[in-house]
Amino acid sequence: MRDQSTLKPASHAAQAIADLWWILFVVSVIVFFVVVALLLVGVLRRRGGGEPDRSTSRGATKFVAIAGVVVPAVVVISLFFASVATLPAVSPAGKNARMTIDVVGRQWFWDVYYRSRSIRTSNEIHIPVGVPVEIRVTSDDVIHSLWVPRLNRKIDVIPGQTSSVVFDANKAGVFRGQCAEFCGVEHGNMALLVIAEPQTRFDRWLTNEAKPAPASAGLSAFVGSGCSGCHAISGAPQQSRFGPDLSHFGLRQTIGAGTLTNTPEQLADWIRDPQRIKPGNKMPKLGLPEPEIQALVRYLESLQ
Amino acid sequence: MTTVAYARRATEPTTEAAPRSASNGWWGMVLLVATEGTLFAVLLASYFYVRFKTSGGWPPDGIADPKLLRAFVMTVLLTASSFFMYAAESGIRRGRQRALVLGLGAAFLLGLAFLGLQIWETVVVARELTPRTDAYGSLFFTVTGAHSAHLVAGLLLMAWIQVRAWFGVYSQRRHLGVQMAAIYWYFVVAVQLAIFVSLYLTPRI
Amino acid sequence: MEAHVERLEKVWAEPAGIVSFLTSVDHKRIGIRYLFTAFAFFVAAGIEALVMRAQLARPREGLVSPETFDQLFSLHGTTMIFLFVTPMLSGFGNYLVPLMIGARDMAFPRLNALSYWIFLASGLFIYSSVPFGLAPNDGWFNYVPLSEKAFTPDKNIDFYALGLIFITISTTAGAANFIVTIFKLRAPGMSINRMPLFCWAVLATSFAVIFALPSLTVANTMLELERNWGFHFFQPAHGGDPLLWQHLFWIFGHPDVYIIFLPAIGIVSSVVPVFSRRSIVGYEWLALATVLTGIVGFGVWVHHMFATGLPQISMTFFSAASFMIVIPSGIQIFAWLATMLTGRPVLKTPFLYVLGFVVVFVIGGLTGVMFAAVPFDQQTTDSYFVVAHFHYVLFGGAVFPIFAGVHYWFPKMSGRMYHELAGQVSFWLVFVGFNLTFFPMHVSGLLGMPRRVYTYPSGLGWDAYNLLSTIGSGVLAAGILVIVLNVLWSLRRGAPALSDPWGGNTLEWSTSSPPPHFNFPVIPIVRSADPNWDLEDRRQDALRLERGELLLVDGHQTLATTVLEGEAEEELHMPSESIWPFVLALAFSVVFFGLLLHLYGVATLGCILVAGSIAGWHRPQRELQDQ
Repeated sequence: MRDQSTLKPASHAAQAIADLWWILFVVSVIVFFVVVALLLVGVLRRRGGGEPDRSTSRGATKFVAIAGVVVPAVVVISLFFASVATLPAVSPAGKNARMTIDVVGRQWFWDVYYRSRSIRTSNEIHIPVGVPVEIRVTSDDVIHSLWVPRLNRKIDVIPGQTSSVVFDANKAGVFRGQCAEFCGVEHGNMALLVIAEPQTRFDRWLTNEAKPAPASAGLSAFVGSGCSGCHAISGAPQQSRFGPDLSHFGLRQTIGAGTLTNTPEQLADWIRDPQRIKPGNKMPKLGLPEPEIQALVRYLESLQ
Repeated sequence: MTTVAYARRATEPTTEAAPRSASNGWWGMVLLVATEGTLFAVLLASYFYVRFKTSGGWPPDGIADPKLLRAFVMTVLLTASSFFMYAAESGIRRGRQRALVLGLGAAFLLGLAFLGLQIWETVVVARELTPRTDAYGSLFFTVTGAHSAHLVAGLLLMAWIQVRAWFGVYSQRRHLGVQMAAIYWYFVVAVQLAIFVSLYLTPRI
Repeated sequence: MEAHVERLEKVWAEPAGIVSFLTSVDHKRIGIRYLFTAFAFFVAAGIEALVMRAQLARPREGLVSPETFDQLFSLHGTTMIFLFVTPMLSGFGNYLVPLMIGARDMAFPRLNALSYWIFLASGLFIYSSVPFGLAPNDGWFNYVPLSEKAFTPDKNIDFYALGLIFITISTTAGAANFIVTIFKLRAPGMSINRMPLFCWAVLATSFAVIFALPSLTVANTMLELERNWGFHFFQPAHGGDPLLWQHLFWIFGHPDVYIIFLPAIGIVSSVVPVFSRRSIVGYEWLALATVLTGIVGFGVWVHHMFATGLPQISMTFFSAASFMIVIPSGIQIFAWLATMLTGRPVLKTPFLYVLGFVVVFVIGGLTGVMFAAVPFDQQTTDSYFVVAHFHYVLFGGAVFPIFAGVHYWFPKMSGRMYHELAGQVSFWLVFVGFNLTFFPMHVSGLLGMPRRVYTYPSGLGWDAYNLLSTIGSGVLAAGILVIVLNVLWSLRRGAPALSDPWGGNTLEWSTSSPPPHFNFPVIPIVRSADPNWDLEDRRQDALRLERGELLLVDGHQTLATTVLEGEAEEELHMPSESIWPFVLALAFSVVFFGLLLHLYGVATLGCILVAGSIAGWHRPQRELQDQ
């Protein structure tokens, strides 16, 4: 389900790229076997050595001209056109996006914003199926690259620059993606999920996301433990954007940008010592007493 | 029979003497200048890259255009020095020691004057703009600084050649050192022309 | 005749001992030093690779920390590119170019010694970071802003940036030396269209070095100024642009691929005709293809940046240029094939490595074509597919030929034969191990595995391919170990080699194995592109030696010829041994360590030492020799 394969496209764009790959692959296989066959014939046909033959062979030179220049030129020009023909499918300009989501790459998680940044979530992008969605990316720190292979090509996430890629899923599903530009120690654990769902479910999800969390004992524990120094929960008094947003955390599938599955046990492990699980990430080991950890887990998992 | 004549006869049936091509030292210096020239080309390309990536005016953020007069005088001085260098070089090619010494001396003094003005220019510009101001400032000072470093190297080279010239080391036949110093100096002058056009003139267009 | 040779022995002899070790300017000794030093770095980079493969053998393995892993892959790439392949090929060039063109040394022997010492010093400079745990850690292309002080505050990046600026001095000086040597020191009669193809390759490479390396120097200088002096070039908040680094880096970086690859191609073009027992087919085509590759290599750098969101029109242009580079490669492949097809091949180890090269390189070339297709590139760049691709091109395209060259020229360099069976065993281990290591990476890349990750979760279909890769890396390492053992064993026990064990076509095979200090007792006169197959000409050389003609025995002498026609022009007096290159390299080291440690007083002192060493170098009566 959480496949990250370029060969299982779930959108028109990814399909176009996969088609291009198969063309390139077939041509390559043919060329490869022709060359290897010639090589084997050349080496095995007339072995034996002896005095060097110093004649110049007109036929051999003609062979070089045809096989080494003319044929490759024809092949390469055809492939060039095949590649150019695929370009519009993967370019943001060619699409009429009906919705925009802003994604900010951070060391080492993804900040996701809906409705001109009024709704914030992290490490999960929900999109409606069959609707072209423009993903606008930028970075607050170093260069990342947003890559969800089943939906589209990757797009580099560069500070000081906003770039776009279009996600237009043609089937519902959860598509895993990952940072594809080296961005520091935890580059390997900077994944995200794109959840494509039917429009009505998506709308329900978005409406739910817009709701602030109710004030509760859990919220004050969250603030009291120091979590809110970095993490925001909509409705909480303090809104730090340093760490991932935790509003509606109970609905998320993973912890630590795809590092762990979101279960109460794993969450407790994570809070106990995030540095053991994702060494070098920016969340310190707080050394909280066990009951406080359990209370936090209960609270966070209740945020639906 | 000399070895060269021997080898020439062995490979070349005609009696015509082969034309002398450039020597190893000449090639070495030309390649040095080629790679250093590329270095400046890359620096100036970076300057224009940043310029065209910057929206709004150039220089950015209301920094005034660089003043022309002093830079113009500097460029003229340095260009003039290359003519003296040429006089020195063509002088020794005809065996004229005096032309060599005087030409080198004049070129050296003009180069020194340029360096003085460059320091003055740097001090004046630095009142408004430093390398830490922004990318424009960094590029401006990096380009001019790199040029000054090459200029100083050129002056040292010229001083060395100059001293040797006083001792009469060079002759009509043997003056590779002068030739090499000259190539390097023309390069330093050419870079200054490129800098003047790029850093001083183009912001006004 | 004896008297002449004795005279040459005396003139060219270098005194024994440590002093001679530091002062030698013999291109053969320097060449062999290059080979050994570069190989030592290769072993280091190989160990780094094996540790990485062990870490990636299974998902969520905890063998090394992410911080260590980052240093491993950064060092591995930097070492392989700058400290192994480039200097290894410089080593072959140093040893072979003068021998192939019938000269007695390089054009600037002392500069040559300097190139080696600076290579060694800069390599040690970069590796001195390892004991402190401060090795470069942002990858070999070291993108900003990650490599800026805000994100990598320690000295890791300073080791990288200063080290690369440092080694550039060596590479550039070496390139200039090669160009002048090839232009000016060819034996009389060796017009440029009779020059060995290896020399064409070295020539094209050297020009690429002259024009590509300044871009790397500028980029790293800017980075150092930004990191340590508060300059701004790459920060958008201060009017800079992070993509400027990428442009500068790849304007250097893509030509550098060909800087690595072209001399290796030259080795292939040397081996193919000799073991096919026939003159190479399409000499002119091959020479032209070599030069074209060097030139077109400068026009394709943007294909490393297709995912950065550049305008489509510029991507289309660079895509077309990248497709075009297939043509010269096609010429080369089919010229070699035609030579084999019309020859009578002999399957010895060097030739096996060349055949392995063709197979592997064709795969790397084909995946290279795929990356010219913009949408495919945007999908698979920075994935394991690209890791597979460039190992097929660089390991396949450069290291296989290097191993071919090691076996091919081993008898010439050592005077002994390597063990043929061990050689063939090593080939099969390397060939199988290589493909087992890198072929599965194509698949894991297509399955979405990004490069430079220190670990990965299970369940994405990557596990088996990674395990296969790790197993393959062990096999590959075993093959390389066999090569090392074969070399060490053969150096002492190998059968004595004749001067021409393969029936070679180029001039290095016309002199003894190993060659005397002066290379050739008499300067050869050349009348074809396969001079060592011109038996009559070589007999004439021997006769001239008897008659005492064209000997050049008065000091370190060789013959200068014209650039294109190779007509004799003048006798050159080459400088003899000198300690100054070594001293100058030490002085440069003082400068760079001063800059690294922010000891600017020390750095200034170093600059004074550099100036002093240059003055000392030129102090003696050099004017006569310069001319």
